[in-house]
Amino acid sequence: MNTQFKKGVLELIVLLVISKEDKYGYQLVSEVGKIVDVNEGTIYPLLKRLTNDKYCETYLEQSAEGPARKYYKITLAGRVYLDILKKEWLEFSQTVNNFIKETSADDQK
Amino acid sequence: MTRNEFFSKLEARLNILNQQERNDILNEYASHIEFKMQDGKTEEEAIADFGDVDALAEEILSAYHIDSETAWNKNGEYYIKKSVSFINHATERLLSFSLGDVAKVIVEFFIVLFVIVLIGVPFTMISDEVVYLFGFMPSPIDDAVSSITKLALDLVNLIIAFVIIYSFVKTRILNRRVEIPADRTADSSFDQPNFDVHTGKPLKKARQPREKSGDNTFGKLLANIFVWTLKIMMFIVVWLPAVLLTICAIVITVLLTLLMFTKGIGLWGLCIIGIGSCIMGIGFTAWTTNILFGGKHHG
Repeated sequence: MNTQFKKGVLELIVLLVISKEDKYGYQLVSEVGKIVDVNEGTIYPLLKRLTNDKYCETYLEQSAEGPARKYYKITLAGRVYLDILKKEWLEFSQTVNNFIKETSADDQK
Repeated sequence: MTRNEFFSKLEARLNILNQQERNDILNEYASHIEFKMQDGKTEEEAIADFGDVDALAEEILSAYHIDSETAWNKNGEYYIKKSVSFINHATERLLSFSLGDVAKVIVEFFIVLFVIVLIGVPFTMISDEVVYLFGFMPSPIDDAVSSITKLALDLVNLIIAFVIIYSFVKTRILNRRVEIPADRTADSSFDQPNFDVHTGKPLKKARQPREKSGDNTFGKLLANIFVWTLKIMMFIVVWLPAVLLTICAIVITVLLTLLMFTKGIGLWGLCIIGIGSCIMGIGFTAWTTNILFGGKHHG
């Protein structure tokens, strides 16, 4: 898939994943990786930026095995932002889909 | 690529970011590699999954809205980032102030201004002395020497004032002790890597989060020196005259009252003025006494 496409929706997908449940980094990366095939390394900087922009926050939790895990939790601002992104994506994909249909209908004439 | 190579390469590419951001990211990658290895991958494989280090670094920087071209313009960017983070930090601190804190800081600021003015007094006195001292020299030289000395004195005075204001702003406003919510504290401990990113071994002692208070020994020493200078100055310039004047006011008022009642002269106006000045004098003396000899003040 086109990397530019992936980049555009990555933020939306990451926010969607943590909107259901708090996730720690690796868990999040694996889950996002199931939806879009993306370089694992690129999700962390995105998370960092979302945290800096206060769309999500982090907390530490001890785990039975290994060192403490850093969990990501969506904030209220993050939920609002997610709603905007969702709406934008749906509208945008709708428009593009319609346009694709239109043009392919033109081709068939 | 080994872990060591990967992290030193990545760190070098990210040197435009500040230490904390960089640590955060490297820390996440380190724990990612740990998890991958728990899932049965080798270190090499886990690192290979990150792809090309240069591309990765560019990706990370682009998340900060820095493209590789601006990354070349490192210094400018660095200072802009620094000043932006300073402003953020300062406003964050200012916003965390309660009304009482604001009042306290304002009062402290006036005290600081007062200290600066007081410290200026001996300098003005010395520079006046200098004019007399060098008066015996021939005409152009004495002017030159005294103006140079004056300039030097003013400069020293200015530097002292600047240092006071700087340390005041630093300790009182920027590094003020603030209540940090428990989860924030936990988070900030993560900002410091709790294991070495290069070797993956846990650090022997988890590095403590940076002390958030303004207690530094130099600042304290400086503050103590200023407090004592201020106290001695106040004692001589304010307290002694205040006490003497108050005693005089009391004596005169008592004498006036006695005079009025024994001799029957109508001195009501003078008496009221006398009593008023007594009250003022006592009040002022009590206030200055409290400041000078009262309980322990926080420097």
